[in-house]
Amino acid sequence: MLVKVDACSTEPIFRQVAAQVRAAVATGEVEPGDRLPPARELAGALGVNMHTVLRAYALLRDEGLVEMRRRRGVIVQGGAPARARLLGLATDLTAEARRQGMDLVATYRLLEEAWS
Amino acid sequence: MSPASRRRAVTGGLAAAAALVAGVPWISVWGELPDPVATHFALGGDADGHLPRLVAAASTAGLGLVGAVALAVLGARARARPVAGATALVAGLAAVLAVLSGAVALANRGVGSWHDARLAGWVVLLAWAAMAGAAVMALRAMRSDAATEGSTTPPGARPRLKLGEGDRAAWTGTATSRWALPVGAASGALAVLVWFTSAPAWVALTILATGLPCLAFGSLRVTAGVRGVRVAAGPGWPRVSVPLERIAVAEAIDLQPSTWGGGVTAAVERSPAGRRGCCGPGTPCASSSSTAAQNAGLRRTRCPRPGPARPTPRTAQNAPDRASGSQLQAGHRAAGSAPPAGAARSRHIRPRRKLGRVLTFAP
Repeated sequence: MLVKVDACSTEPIFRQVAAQVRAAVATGEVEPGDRLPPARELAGALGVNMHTVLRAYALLRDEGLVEMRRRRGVIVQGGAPARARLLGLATDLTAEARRQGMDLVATYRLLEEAWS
Repeated sequence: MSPASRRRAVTGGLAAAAALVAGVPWISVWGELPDPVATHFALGGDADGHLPRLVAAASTAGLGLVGAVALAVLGARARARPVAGATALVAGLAAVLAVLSGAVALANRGVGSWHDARLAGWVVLLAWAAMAGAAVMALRAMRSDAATEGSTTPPGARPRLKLGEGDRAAWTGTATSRWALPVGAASGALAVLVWFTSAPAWVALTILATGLPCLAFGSLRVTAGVRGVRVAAGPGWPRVSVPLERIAVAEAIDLQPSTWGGGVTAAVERSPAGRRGCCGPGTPCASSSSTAAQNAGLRRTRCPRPGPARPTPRTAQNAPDRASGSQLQAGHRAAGSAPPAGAARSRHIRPRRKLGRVLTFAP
């Protein structure tokens, strides 16, 4: 799993790390049951604070992609790939809508039209 | 002579020598041997054990011949440096078995009874010397080709990881054995069962000691980042870290499970720097395919160039947490430069995930 972050970006690093892990889960590079590298190790490899990676893992846990257990590490949950793909699409949609100046209501309406 | 040819010549020569030393004495003095023959000797050299002549010849010379054949096969099939240690081990075993086999035959030559056979003390020293010599020769043969043999991918076709200003990247991968973890778990369960039987305790402890390495090394995790490369066994220990400053080149290599150890995930080896034109801090690295190639490309971009690096404004503001990014960018900019003359020795990193099972180190 390749994790690449841009220190010059305005997007917080923990979100970038979460996005990279999410993408790895979505593409199947990391499969359900796989253990993610310990936060300390990944943080050391990236040269960022350990709590930055922990925050990224917590975000992924809140999204239902991973499970964090004490002494067992961070494990990718079953069904995470499909959910990660959906989250990725939603993120792309949101980003594109913002780029075009749409607000949440307009984006929601767009979704409603697409849904029907 | 190509490195592979030299490797086969050395291992083949050692195997032939071991076969000759193990087998020829038995054949040449067969008619002068008593039956039974002495096969075990006390520390003083006096015989204290015997076997029928045919059984003794088959067992002692057979062991030496088996070692020679194993060495020949290993040397012929060895395609990667991580098997250097294994080849040296097999060469040493074959040599010591061959020398002892021949010595046993000669010790029984011309004696009326196996009681009269005597093994000189210097023979044991000779066996040890042969073992050491064969091991060193095999090790040198396996290692000597490291700097000239490697990826056949032309420099222009090597994958590169593009990192912009302020970018930083880390690669992590885990290789898990399909059989090591089940074997380790089964060994543990068997050890518990045996412990509660009437069997001696050492039997259970031996079974447990066999299974523990399987559990420990059934999974390996490699992480490459701004600080270098770190390889850790499944439980997190044992582990080894190679600082970025000591990495000269990173490349992906194909290792087959048929090589000793059942396959290799990663190897950290020493090699003289500069023997390959592209090796050296700040220069591109060889790489061949898939994930491992991505990994190799990642570390290529991080090869540091001697001298101060120019940090980006964002990096400078966030030091020390982000100071390592400047080092990364420095390596990125330096890609393609010539290796420094001062790099006398460096570390040669070869990660592999595809068939990874066992970690081999050749310090």
